[in-house]
Amino acid sequence: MMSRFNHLPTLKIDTSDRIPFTYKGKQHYGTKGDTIATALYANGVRIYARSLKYHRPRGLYSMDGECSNTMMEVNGTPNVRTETTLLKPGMVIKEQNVKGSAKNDMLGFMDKMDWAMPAGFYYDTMHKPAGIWPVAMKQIRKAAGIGKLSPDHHMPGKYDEIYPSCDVCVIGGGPAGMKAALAAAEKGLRVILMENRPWLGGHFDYRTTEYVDRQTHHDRAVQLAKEVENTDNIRVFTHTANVGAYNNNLITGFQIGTEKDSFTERYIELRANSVVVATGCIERPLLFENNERPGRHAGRLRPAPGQYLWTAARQDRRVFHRP
Amino acid sequence: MALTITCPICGKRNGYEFRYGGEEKGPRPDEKDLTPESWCDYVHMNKCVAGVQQEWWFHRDGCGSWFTIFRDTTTNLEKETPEAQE
Repeated sequence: MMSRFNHLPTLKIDTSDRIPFTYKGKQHYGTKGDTIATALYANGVRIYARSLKYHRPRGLYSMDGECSNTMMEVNGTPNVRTETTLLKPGMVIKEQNVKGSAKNDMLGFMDKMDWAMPAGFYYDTMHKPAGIWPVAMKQIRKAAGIGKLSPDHHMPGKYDEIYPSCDVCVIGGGPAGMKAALAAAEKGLRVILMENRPWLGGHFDYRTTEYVDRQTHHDRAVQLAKEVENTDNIRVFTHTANVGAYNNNLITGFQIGTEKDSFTERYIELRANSVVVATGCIERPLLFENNERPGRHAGRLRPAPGQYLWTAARQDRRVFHRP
Repeated sequence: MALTITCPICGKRNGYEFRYGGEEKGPRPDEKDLTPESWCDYVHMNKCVAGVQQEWWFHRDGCGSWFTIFRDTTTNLEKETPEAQE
């Protein structure tokens, strides 16, 4: 019962190519270009996980890897963020920290216990009276926490690290980042461009509204991305999360490889003469009761047709420059 | 390591390549009139300033030279002059 948009130019999926995967022991199908989360959503999954303390239901929220709502166990590796992990054939996906299933969690009653365990409650409270702890610890460990890692688990794949250097490092492959990279490259500088998503474009990429002269935001993003890729002295790292920016312009990132790459994931540590931060911002969630339950989303959502959607978002673009 | 050191021969390099050689404490004291206390002070006592200090570095994985630099110990950044810059 898949219902999907298939006419938008911004789509990154190919519905003719089906990818099999296993969820809760059953075979399901996603399409090429799906992340694990979108494939599950298309297969009717709405509750992906349970919160670690009260076991409240957790569904799609940020859609961009900014929340921990959709962490699942994939091929035995716990805490995989399914919103940003692309689906691969034969993946075995499981829920974590649930008794039963995420939809019908037998520990769901913990939500009603919030009066006993308010925010700031420490499990250490159970240390007193002495004697209660060994019993309490066993129960807490069963109920709380997220993924479980088996002691002999081995991460499959090839892992690598590289130490490039450049004149200008641009963090963020949105329109501002791409323009900055192009401007620097025009001056003859060696540029490295890092982008968190698997493609360039930032917030222009999923907008079909007009940018200028009947050109849509999406087309503009594609045009800029082509320009960037055709410029010799810009080295582009896509699907690379920038994980650190330190003194003396030391930048570290973490890249996830594609099928064509010789690595599964790799660490990038680079030293730049100058850094441009064009990361944009994450919107601040609105505060209201039950604002984290499934069905409430952050911005940038591509919903299935025929469904009501409630989106509250505040987005902003900012560019900083550090000489 | 975010630290960089400017070696007089090799230029600005990653801090991994260097070994710290302690604070610059002036010339070695004259052996005449040298008491165990003053020798101990020279060898072991450090100023540990919070600010710019002159210190020795050894380019272990490079040219092998010993040299001094000025470093702001609060920001871990190299300075060109001993005065703190705002």
